[in-house]
Amino acid sequence: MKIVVCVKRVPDTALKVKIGSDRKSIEKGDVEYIVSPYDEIAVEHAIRFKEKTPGTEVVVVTLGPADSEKNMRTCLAMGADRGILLQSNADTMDSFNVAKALSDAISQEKPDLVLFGIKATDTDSSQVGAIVSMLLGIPFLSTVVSFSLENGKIKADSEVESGHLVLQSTIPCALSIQKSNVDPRICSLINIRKAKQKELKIVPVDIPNDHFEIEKMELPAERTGGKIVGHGPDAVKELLRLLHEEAKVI
Amino acid sequence: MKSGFLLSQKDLLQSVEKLSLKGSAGFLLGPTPSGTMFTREQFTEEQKEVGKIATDFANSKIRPNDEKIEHKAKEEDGTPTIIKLVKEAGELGLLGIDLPEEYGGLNMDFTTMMCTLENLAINGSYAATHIAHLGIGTLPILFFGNEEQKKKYLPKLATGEWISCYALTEPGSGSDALSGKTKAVLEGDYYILNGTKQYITNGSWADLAIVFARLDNQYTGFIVELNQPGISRGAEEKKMGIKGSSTVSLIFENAKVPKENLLGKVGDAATIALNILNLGRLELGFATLGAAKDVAKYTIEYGKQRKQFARPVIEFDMQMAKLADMVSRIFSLDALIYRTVSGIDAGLKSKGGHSASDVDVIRNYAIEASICKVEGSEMLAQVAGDSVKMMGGYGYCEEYRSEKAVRDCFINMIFEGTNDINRLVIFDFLVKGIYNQEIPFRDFMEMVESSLEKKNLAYPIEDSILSKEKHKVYAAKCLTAWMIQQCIIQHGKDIKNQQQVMKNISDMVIQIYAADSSLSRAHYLLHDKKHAGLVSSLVRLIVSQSTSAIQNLGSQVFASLWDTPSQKKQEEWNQLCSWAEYKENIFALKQEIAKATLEEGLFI
Ligand SMILES: Cc1cc2nc3c(=O)[nH]c(=O)nc-3n(C[C@H](O)[C@H](O)[C@H](O)COP(=O)(O)OP(=O)(O)OC[C@H]3O[C@@H](n4cnc5c(N)ncnc54)[C@H](O)[C@@H]3O)c2cc1C
Repeated sequence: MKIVVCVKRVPDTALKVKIGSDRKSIEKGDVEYIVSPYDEIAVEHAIRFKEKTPGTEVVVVTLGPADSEKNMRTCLAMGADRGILLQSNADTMDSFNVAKALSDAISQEKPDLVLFGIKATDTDSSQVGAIVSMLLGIPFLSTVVSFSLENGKIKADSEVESGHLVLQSTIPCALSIQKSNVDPRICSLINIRKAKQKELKIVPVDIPNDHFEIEKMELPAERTGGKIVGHGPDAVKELLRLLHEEAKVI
Repeated sequence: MKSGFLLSQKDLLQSVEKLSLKGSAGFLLGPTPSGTMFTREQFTEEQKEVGKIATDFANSKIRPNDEKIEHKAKEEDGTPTIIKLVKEAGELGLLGIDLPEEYGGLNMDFTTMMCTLENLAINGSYAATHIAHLGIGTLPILFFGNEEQKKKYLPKLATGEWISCYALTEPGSGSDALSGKTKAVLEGDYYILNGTKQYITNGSWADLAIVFARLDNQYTGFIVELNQPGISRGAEEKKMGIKGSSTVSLIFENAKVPKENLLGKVGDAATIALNILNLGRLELGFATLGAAKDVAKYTIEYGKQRKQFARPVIEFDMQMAKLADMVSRIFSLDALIYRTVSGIDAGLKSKGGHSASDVDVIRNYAIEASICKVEGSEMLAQVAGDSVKMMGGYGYCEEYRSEKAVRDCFINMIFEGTNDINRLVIFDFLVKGIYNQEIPFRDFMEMVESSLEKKNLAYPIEDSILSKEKHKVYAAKCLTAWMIQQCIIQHGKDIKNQQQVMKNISDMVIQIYAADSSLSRAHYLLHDKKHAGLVSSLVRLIVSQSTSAIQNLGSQVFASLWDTPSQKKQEEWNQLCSWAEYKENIFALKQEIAKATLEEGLFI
């Protein structure tokens, strides 16, 4: 089996983002970049699959600037075998452009499985996985929380809002990974050291101009604090009244 | 980044620049040239990476187990949860960072290792357990063990397969640490040990101990495997804090220790114990730094949520002032502690490594290590205490973390030498350094005296960043050195009976190290144009408070030295005080610091 995991670097989610002076992008000054948390979970799934299934190779692919190497090394330290860094300084938001570059690289790898995080935590757009699958012409299983190989097919559990699906697909196929009880491992220092020796292929890519542009970027309005109306069953009546009369949601 | 020197002072400055990098309180005898001090802002990528592993481990493994650790809970297989965690840390490599690769370590420097201690210290019991193992429990073997001993024990300790401890204290031997009565007698191929060690961290679950015992009346170190007949462990002490750690007696009744387990040479206990304690004190300082940052963040989080008089309590002026005090003390401990450890690393690197012949590097940092311990533990005590106060009744209840923080922090002022003992160490080493001419105290004093004669104190470096503050701290150094000189002249050998004087002098030295290191750290940040407003407020607050504390401490000493001081002394003292005088509107500074902290959460 060969698994490709697509990962993206995003601003550290613990960081308080500030909007830049152009009002169209974030201030980059001291921003630390991390592997998008859902992508990291996807890597974890791939590594666990590999640990159970000898002979599996895990390849991580990213599109980003040169210093994405650091984030690729994190994935390699987690246990991925090698990495491909599609290097571009284009700060693209256009999911199609990203997906095109990724699918060109992935198609050369001929993987059995392609994993994505369900979304990148910077743009939250959840598009790239689906477009890559379409360009590769393979089935796309979304919001997957676990999967296994059974009789030459992929069996996947998918969490959807209204319930739980068990899916089955031919190989090759693509999965987008949703958060579950699978937490990414903390890399050991030895593995971080070993990861420095692992293969990381750097391939410069040209990204065409975006088909659209960001006109304005704003932070969400400050939340205006909650209200505790009381404790226990006695409070229910007042809560109902407020929801009905003030918030007008019921 | 280095600034130009004024020629007249060049020689003195150069010797000071070298000195401030060698410990021995060299920082006291001149300005610290900009760009010569390491701060966390210069972490390498590797140091950041390793630090992050520790943070991830702390947040995802230690914090969720706070409750189990506190109650000494056990896992299904009977292993105490805390020990399971130490072993997991070992699997990640966190116990062998500073050990050579040939013994299962990663061969990184102490700076990297200690930065993990900072990040792991969000639980006091865990920190004590981890540090007793990898610090005082392991380093004696690294520095004083022979090749066989290192090969035999270090790999097991690096992975956490074995847990270690350090057994120096006895019922009758605490602060007087080298007066222990435990006895060792050579019989054939074994030393036979008899005696009791008390208050031993990790005692109940350790596999190995560094034990000190009297051999032919010479105090000597031994490596002792604990799971054998003749060794028993006392009941757990019921403590005020760090309740999740183990503190027991180790009782030796004709315990057999193989001849080859003698550590170092016969009679080496003092060298081993005291040098390793220097590293232990430094490690403890790092733990207090991490704990204080954790408490500060928690307090802010709470204070933003809790509303009284229709406002978040943290926004009230008095609460903001306490928050600013937290941040400024954390900022300066951060600066002085990384400065210290990186100095030791540089010294060890130039010497080539970790062996008994290299420990004089560590010995040279005795003063700085004691400062890290005293200032760290007292800073944390203030931060934790203020946190409880800032949370009101909630802060006093177990359900909120600050109550535990207060109980847990107290021990840091007691173990690894009480803070009183550490203050004596600071003074003692300083005076020894002066007598033995390890530091150019006389040259410096000549400069101070001639400045006093000329009634003009020139600042010997041209520097555009924070020049006023640097000048003031420099003046405070002159004032402190002058005061030390007066004490030596007035008291001579009797100074050892003047503990209150010694305490004040040590406190002045601590204040200087804190202010000086903060200035150097701020210099970098301002030079790189980072958070200029906040950094400048911080450093102004720190310099303002430390120069006034130094004057106050000095005035007390001054009043004790002479019933009626000569006019000359009085004039000199007044002159020094006026040079060091730096008054700022600290209320406004605290407001600014707190505001910026609430917005950006920097430096904590
Ligand atoms: C939880 C815990 C864990 C510990 N872990 C370890 C461990 O792992 N290994 C180990 O070997 N020890 C350990 N200790 C022991 C610890 O290091 C000692 O308790 C400490 O050094 C103080 O000694 P003491 O308790 O005997 O106090 P004492 O020496 O009796 O001191 C009492 C008071 O007298 C003061 N005093 C003493 N001498 C002087 C002096 N010359 N001048 C001025 N004042 C003085 C002290 O500052 C103190 O205020 C631990 C202790 C505790 C409580």
